[in-house]
Amino acid sequence: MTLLLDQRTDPEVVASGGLHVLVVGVSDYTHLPGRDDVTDPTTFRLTKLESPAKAAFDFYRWIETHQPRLPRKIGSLRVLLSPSALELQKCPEMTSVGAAAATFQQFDDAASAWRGDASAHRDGMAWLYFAGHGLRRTLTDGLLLLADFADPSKQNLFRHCAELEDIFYGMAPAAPDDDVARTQVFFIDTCNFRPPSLGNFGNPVGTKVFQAPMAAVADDRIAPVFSAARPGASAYGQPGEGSFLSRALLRCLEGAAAESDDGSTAWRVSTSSLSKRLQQDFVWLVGRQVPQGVTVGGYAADAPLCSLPSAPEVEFGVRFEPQVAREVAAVHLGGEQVGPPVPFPRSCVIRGGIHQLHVAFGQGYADIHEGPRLYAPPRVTRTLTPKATEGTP
Amino acid sequence: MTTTLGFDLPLYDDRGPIVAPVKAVRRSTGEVVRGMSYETLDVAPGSYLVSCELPAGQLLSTIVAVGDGDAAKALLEPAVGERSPHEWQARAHYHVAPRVRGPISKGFGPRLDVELTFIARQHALGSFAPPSTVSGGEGFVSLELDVGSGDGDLVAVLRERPEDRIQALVVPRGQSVRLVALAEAGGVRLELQLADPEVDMLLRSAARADHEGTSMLAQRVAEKALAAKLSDPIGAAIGAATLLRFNELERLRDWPQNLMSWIDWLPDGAALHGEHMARLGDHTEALAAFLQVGQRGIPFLGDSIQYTVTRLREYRRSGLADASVDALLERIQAIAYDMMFDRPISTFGGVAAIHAYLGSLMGSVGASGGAIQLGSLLESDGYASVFP
Repeated sequence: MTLLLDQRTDPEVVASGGLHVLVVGVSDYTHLPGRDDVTDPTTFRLTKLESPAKAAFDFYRWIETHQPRLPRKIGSLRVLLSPSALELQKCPEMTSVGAAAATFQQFDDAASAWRGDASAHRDGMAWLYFAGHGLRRTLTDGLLLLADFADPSKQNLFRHCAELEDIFYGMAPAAPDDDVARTQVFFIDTCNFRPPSLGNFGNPVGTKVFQAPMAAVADDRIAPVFSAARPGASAYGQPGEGSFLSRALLRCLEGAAAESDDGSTAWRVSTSSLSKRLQQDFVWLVGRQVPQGVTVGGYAADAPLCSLPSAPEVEFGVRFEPQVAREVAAVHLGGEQVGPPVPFPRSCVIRGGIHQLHVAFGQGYADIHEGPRLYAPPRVTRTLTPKATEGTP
Repeated sequence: MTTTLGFDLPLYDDRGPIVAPVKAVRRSTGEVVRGMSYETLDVAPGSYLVSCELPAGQLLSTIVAVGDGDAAKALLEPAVGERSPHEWQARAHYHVAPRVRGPISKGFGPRLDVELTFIARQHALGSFAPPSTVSGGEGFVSLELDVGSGDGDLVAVLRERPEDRIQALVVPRGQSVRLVALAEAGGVRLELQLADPEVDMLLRSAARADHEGTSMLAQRVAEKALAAKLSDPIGAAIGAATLLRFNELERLRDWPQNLMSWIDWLPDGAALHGEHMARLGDHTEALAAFLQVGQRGIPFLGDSIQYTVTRLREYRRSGLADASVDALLERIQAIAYDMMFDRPISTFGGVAAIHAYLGSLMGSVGASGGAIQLGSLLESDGYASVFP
């Protein structure tokens, strides 16, 4: 089963198109060796993986449990998972959702049905999340490897690969009366390198899912493509725990990428705010130093992703120069003291919004007063250099 | 009586004031007005949250009350401790992402051990003046270039030691530019800074900044370039490419076509017009435009290269284009494999791509190509180094 949530006949979905989501996570590549096995140069020394299926599962779970915050009511939610043994051991509920395996045939069927559902209304939205192996083909295009990649019974090594370009352009309006959702978001959580031996295949061709015609119609979509790795680079994850892109993405959706026009109400995450956060704060979002950088391609205009029920958390930190000043400092934001005055913690959590900073020193330094400023996620770190007065310690 | 809101962004680098898109939100209604930091906008009276996000991520904000008939001004200054430590570091501090900014902002980054070589067609050497200023410090080296608008392309090749890593960047002609090599995690980043502060801001913002503000800036840059009869074609190309990146087809109007028609040497004009036409569904016109890229040379913008390769491949596959495009496609793809697509200006790493680029230029001027060994780049057939 791939269609885990079906609300396509809901009047709200019928009226406004709804949100149609396809989530794919491939860890257990049937025909690839395990991580500790001898690798095969004919399959580019690729091995089974241990984090993409969990990454996809986490994304699916987040969508399912945050429906009221999404910009459209969910019309359809399709999930394909091929988890590794380690992922199943760490997250047994992955089996209970009943998602079909992420083979090429299942992907072909699910993607076709996904496009069909998304074609009901141009005001609808379509999201794709794909986690697994990827091979950079040219430029921004890549092959997405499904679970039965490198099937020895097939002459074509790439038979069970989809092409990112085919998916992207296949989701474009194909005729003047094509009402395919004009707002689409693609998350491609794969490596983005081109093994030298891939050149032996010329320009390797996967199997087309859409084979989009060159339509004489304007492609007026908003359709950003978030890629987990820069061209030539790898994407990473933690075995059994999901990918770093998935972790960063979910933190962003939880509020780390939230913005508010007036700084007090209506905090929301959009593709634009997500793009900024993922590119500027990836290391902070995943909580560790990783040689990975997110890129954003496609048609990167702005579209809403989710709203927040309240002001998001902001990591707030203060450093004092000289350091000794912190021992007599009481830091207030908007009239409320944040953190104990002595010693001030390295950072604490505040709520996003408009605040005025006031630091009272009691002795030794002149107090610091600032005008109102917007404190927005994910973090605000300040270095304060108070002026010494008489009695400076 | 007019009620206005102006902005004061007191940030300067060594070339002058830094400009940026600014957003003002009327707090009682949520109404949003946008402008540039040097502008004064007509607004309704009220309390406004004014903010400005710089490409490196600093969020400057303040609240200002605007009374009926007032000429209010919002002061947007970095919070205490967020200022650039020195004016000469300001461009990097405010414009470059933190991962790059980190090592150099404090002035004690790693020492750079790099060699910069410039390569141009020999007959075009007269177009280039030697760098006017070369400066450097811990973690960066910077030099000023005035590239003439004559017939010639200039390529800056950076060799990193001791790893001997190579990267090359195409320097657009007709520009006063600053070339900067910056230390960053894992290597050195070769960057181009353009003289026009708005174009430079746009170049840095397009990939990661606020969509509405960047679109507005892109539109202004393109409009300004067109009003000046495309005296800054690179600025116009960057403006058009940014709007294409956001798929702002209406805002683009017929600018890419004008760029292609009026500036007959600029490959980006053809590539951007081709992509614009493809998105509008006119693939025959798009193919004709992309074929002109081949006659003009390799585009300066990474986006232009990406569009050219993607569409030509598609047109070849679908049968719209015949085998005559194969040579062009092969030439551009050879470079594209090693393109650094997180850099706005065409930058590629590796000897193979540099060879392919030089070979491509030779092809476009009808010179004999042949294998160019990196060791002989300086004296290769048809090329010579300038400013060794």
